[in-house]
Amino acid sequence: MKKENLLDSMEYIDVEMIDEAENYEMKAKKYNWLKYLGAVACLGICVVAVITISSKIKISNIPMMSDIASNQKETNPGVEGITEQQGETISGAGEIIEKPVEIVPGINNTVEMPYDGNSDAGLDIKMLIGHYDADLNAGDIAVNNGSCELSNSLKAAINELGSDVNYRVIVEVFQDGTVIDSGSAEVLAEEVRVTELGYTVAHERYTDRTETLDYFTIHATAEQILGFEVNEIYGYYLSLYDEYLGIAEPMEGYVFVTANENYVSDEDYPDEFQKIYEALGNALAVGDLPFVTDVVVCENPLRIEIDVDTTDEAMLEKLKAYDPTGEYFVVNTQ
Amino acid sequence: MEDDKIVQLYLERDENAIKCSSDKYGTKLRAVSLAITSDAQTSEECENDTYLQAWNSIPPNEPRTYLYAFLARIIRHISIDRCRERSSLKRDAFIEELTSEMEMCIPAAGNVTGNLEAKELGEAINGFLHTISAEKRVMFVRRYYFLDSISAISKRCAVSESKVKSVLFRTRNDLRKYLIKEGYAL
Repeated sequence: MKKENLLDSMEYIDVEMIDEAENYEMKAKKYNWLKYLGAVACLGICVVAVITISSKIKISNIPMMSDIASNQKETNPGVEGITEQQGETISGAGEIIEKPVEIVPGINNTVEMPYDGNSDAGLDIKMLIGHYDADLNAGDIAVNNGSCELSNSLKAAINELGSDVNYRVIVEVFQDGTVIDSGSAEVLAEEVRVTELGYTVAHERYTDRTETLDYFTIHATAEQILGFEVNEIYGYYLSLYDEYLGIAEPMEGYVFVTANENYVSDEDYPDEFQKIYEALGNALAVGDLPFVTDVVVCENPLRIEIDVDTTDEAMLEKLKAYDPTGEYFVVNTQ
Repeated sequence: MEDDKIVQLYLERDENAIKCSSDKYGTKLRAVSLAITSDAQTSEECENDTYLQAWNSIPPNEPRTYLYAFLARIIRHISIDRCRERSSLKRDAFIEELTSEMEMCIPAAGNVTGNLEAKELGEAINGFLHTISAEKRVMFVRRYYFLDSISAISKRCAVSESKVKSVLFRTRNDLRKYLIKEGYAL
């Protein structure tokens, strides 16, 4: 078969799938705003839920938060069994909340679990959630300049959980009703602006051999979300992280880029680093390094943090061969 | 009129079959063609050719329960061919873009001229599509079967364009892994 005929292969899918795709039309549900407003009035007295934290939330890898994380260790020396990855520190507007994340016995803490609505109440902890009620669809996604819209799932999460948790949120920036590429200079400038307002901002970039996707994310309190300060020339659509990405599990070949006020475009990375980065991504995409569980690009200094689930010397050597200078890889055995 | 009765008209060589097909599915079929050719006149031509081809292929086919899918498959094929034949339609870049996206799903990309046949690959993709959620499947089928734009999928599924891109991006990666697992590495 020739490359040109690849699209022809789709002719062989089941007719049911064609009908399904033809008849699929999801109407945006309107969330009950009265209920929502009631919840806003009651912020602070909502039930606290037990939610595990995704392995993708790499607090230790977010430069602007690393110092805070260090402080947390100092101020909570008695907390045992809490790793940097499991711990959580949120920088709110004008305040820093430092509390460990509750580890739920019997649940794999490397996988984010959706809130089931039946969890224990009364836990005096602050947690970061990125997933809530996946059945709710996006809602109204036509955002005008100067306004900020929340997805239905995010509204529902805030309604249920209020200010007792923090939220991992994807921010989409619109101008004149059209979404702006999150990798653009305009959005990066917005990330800087929002950072200066006191939000915790992380810029994520996922890439494979075909394309690159950028995400402007924030870790925010309910108050920060509800009072999101807009730039009048843009519109904003806020949705929960895993609602937006569709699935919670990390993907092979994806690279996570953190952002802070020192963020620089990857085009500014040294050529040598670019080649290593690309070679590693290709190797992961084709499954050459199955023992690699996570890859994070960090800046200041520029490096690639790699989590592996093996201590086998031969495998580690195979991985390190992708960084011939030995300058960029930081390999973490779990 | 129900599909079963329309197909019966085809089988009886009653020309009303074409009118009934057109009345029931004409708008949808033209939309399929228009999304591919981006030209109203060409989409009308494709629609007429579709009925002719359906007339010639029923019998032996009897798509009593899937007439729309049957006609959609025909008009899709005709429309893509029309784009390939007529450079004046200026759809080369669009077709190429989608082809490249599909190519990235194939293990050992760049060597797809090997032994893998369209039917074999199609059956593998079909198997994969059964393993994923309806939302992802719909987006994938809309993109690579109906050749919808990202914007059109976004509106149909009531999600942002960025989410559509994300889902397609991940689904392509999952398909690639599925094909490797199933032994389709060339």
